[in-house]
Amino acid sequence: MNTLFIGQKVIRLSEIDSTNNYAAQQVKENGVLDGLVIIADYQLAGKGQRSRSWESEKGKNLLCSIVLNPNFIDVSNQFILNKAIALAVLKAAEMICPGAFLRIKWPNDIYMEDKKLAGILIESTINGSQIGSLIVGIGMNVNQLKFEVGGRPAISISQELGNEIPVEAVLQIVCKSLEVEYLKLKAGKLNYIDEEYQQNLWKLNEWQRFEMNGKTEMLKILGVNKSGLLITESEEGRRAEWRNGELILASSL
Amino acid sequence: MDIREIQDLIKFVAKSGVSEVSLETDDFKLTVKTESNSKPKENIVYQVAAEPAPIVIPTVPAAPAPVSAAPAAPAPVAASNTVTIKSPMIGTFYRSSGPDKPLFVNVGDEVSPGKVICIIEAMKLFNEIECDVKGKIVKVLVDDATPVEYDQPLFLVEPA
Repeated sequence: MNTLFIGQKVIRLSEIDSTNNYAAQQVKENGVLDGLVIIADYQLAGKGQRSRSWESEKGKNLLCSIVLNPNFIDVSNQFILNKAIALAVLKAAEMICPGAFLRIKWPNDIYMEDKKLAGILIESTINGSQIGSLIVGIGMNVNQLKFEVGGRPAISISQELGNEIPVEAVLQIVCKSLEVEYLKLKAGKLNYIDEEYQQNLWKLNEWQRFEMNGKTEMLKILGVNKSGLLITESEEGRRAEWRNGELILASSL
Repeated sequence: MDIREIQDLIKFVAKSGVSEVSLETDDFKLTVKTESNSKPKENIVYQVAAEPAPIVIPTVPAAPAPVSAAPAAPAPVAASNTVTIKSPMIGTFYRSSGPDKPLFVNVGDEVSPGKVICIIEAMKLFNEIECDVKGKIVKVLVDDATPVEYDQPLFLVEPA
């Protein structure tokens, strides 16, 4: 693989409960190998957001986990990792689908127009104020053409391009892109990442109807703060900060 | 000079319209300043000769100076023989790795450094929090699946 460290070691599996779980087991047994990649054709228990599953046709999509060792980032600033990783996956998708309208849906889904292209689930271990290891799970729809009816709208790369593309090629681009953003973090270019993440936020500065606590309200997304909370403004000019799950875009219900 | 007299002096200076009054005795030096008309605030620098550190008391003119500070909000106080494990971040506290999975720890469990005691989910980043002390869990201070703030106490551990 044409990278410095991410993907220099790749473990390929045909079937696994979840690549993140497998990666966690590897970390437990062999320590944190910075850049280790686990890739599987199929996940029996793919992890979405806590108990939400990730559905994928066998061999059609990119399902991988990448082990990182970001011990240079303080726990209090860990959301910057989320930003860098989301940006990396976004940029990989832009490279593969040039010209497509791609954005980061807070906190870290990758959307093409109004459809989900990729999801990210990050797991870390924390001891005191130190991040011990980071496992970055990435799921990207590559060659899947049919998605569950009634589920959230989704799209794949091949639907956009009109032809199939090898999953292995997508993996290489994702690893390369992640390495670039990760090295930026390591070089301390946090403001740069902050700004780029902000610029690529889905529905930034657009009025949208959101649902929260059983009521709906028109809000405009202004950005994301250091802790990862979404900052919105109401029509009366009231600012608010939201945690993940507190706010739902009404049109996606 | 007692606190009453200082309060009276502050009131006097505030009403008088002068910008600064200094008083010096063998024991202390007291200066009462008003910043400007646009900023109706005063800084009192009270200096005791024996103790060179200045005590700055900001006050509002004409209002009686507060005699005592408001009592601090009651915080859960850990008994002296326990260690409080606090949340390193804003997020959601989970006591197990999934809804149908066993709890990481229960009251009475022995823990040691490296043992995972909870997960805090912060904007889709799932953090397994490892214990950094050796001891016994005496109390779990937060319910499963509830939001937590930065530095919020989560567990009380009796060190071994």
